[in-house]
Amino acid sequence: MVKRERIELGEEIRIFSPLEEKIMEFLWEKKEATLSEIAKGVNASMSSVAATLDRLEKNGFVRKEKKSVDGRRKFVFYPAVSKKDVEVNFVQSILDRLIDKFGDVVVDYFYKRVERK
Amino acid sequence: MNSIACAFYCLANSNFGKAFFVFSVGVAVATLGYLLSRDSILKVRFYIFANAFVAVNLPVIYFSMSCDMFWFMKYYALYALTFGILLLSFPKAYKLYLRKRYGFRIDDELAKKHGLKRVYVLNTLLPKAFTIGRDVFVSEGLLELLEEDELSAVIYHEKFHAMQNKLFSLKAVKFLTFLHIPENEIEKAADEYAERLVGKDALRRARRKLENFYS
Ligand SMILES: [Zn+2]
Repeated sequence: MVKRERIELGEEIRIFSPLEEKIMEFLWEKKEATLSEIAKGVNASMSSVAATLDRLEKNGFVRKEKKSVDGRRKFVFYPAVSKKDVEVNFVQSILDRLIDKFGDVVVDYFYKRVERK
Repeated sequence: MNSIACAFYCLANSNFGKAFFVFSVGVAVATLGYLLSRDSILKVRFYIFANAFVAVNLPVIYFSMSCDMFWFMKYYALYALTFGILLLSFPKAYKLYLRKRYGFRIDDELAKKHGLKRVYVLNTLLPKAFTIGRDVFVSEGLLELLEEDELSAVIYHEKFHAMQNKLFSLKAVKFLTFLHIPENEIEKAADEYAERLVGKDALRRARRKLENFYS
């Protein structure tokens, strides 16, 4: 019997880094927020949040808009994808990889599982 | 005849003897001005003139040398050519990198307000400000972080660098002339220039905000 923890799916199977995940959770909850609000909300430094938001925006997870906040032009950030979409994508990418690697075994397993129900 | 004596003999007998003399006096005067001036902006200006005189004097020396003994001018020419090409291609290459890494837009309003030809705004939330050649770069993050007068102070600081690069890139010419000025003297002059235009306080506030952001 193979020990469960020996089965490695690889580091790249994670979608978000810990800070990325915190920021996304924060945005999903608040719907919209400014840079300083996010930094305060996730309790991280402005520079690391700024760099992470840059990356999230580049990868299409976050969208920004210039808006007037308290009389000043500021960026407001929005989640560009729903949590549901990210989860579905995540599961699909894991399954795709499993099927690529083990093919029939995975398909058989799902077949049996569905039958059992 | 040793090479130095030969060099002078060549110069004296060439058509460029007079030009060499005039430019050398220029170098001497500018260097003296640099050493004597107290005002840091003036100091940097004298330094730039000294560099410029040395730079124009170099081809004069090169073309007036018909002695075989003046071999090091040939090596120098090779060195200058290599560095010249490298330093000329650097700004273009770096701009290409910036476009790929961050992307940028041109902000005419900022350029007009500060009397600059072009101001680029990098698409990053990290506050940044720097100058490449005569192009001033700031970032969206900087625009967001700073109040209007603080932003102006930072842009004027950068404008001072851009003005130094008006005739030639100061960095490039330093490689050719070997005249050196401590980097912090140039920074001090750029700060003074900005302070004259928007006041000491704005620049200090801007600096504090940037330090806080990156701490
Ligand atoms: Zn500077």
